Amino acid sequence: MSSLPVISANTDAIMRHQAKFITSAADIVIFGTSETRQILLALKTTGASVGIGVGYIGELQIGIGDDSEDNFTGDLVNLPVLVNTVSVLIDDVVKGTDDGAGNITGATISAGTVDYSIGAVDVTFTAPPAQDEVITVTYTGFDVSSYRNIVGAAPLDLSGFLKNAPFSFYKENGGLIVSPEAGEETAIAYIEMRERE
Amino acid sequence: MANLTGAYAGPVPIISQNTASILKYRANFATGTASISLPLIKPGTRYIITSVYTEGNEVTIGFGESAGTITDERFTFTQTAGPLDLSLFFGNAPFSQYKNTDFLIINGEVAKEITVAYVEFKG
Repeated sequence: MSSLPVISANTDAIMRHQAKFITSAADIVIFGTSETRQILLALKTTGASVGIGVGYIGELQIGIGDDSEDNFTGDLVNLPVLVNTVSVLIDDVVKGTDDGAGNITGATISAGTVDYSIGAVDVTFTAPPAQDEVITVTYTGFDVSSYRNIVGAAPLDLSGFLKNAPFSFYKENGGLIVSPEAGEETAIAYIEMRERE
Repeated sequence: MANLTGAYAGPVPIISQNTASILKYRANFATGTASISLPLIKPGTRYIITSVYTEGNEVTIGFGESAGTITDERFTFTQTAGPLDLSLFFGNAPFSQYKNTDFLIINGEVAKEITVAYVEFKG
């Protein structure tokens, strides 16, 4: 078997399933339709580590207003949570967002925190939400079973690894998430296929 | 095999049943300083980029109507310092995008040499 790179019988397939490319210094989140699967083919980052997995846009109800309680807590389940994706809402109106450093801030929030690793959310409003108002948290996070954090040396090139084993996890309604170290430029190549193609 | 005295596996890659394919889809090589522009002059001609290496720290690939000037960027990557080797990256995911324009352009860092390997393809 040849160890030389060969464009051969695969050439037509290469043209038919053209790779898409994304470069970013922030988290890369790709959501297709409910039946599409993203296959990660290559990845290079200027950082020393990167998280890869399938993720969801999650929603968690953390309480219902009663005119007296002003503090609400909950535990997000898709972990780790992506920074700058957390919002706190009352009756579907955004009241606060996370600052990327674990704090949740907003005009009507006196104190708020989120632990991106374990998902703990704690929010205190300046005034108790009214009777029957619904308090929810929306966020984007990884499906725990598919999440892998790969650590190496900068610049980290996982292309050789992915050459042998393209990342092709699939979860209905999930999307591919690539989470590099903060501020580190990352390029990925992927193809998107219909799950029942 | 492990206990066979003198057993030796040659480090030289073997060209076997793929030889015909290697010759049929012969790789072309282009080298330039800071920029390479591949003219898309033949009707239907496309290029598949399989390797990129530069002594500089950045690579940008896209399409344009003038050599060296990208007006439709499709890929970019920059690291702190060169050299930058994207051969494994494009070995996995060859750049095979096409646009009906004049040039496929690969730009790198100013004054730094850049080399690409590509295959000409007619669908």
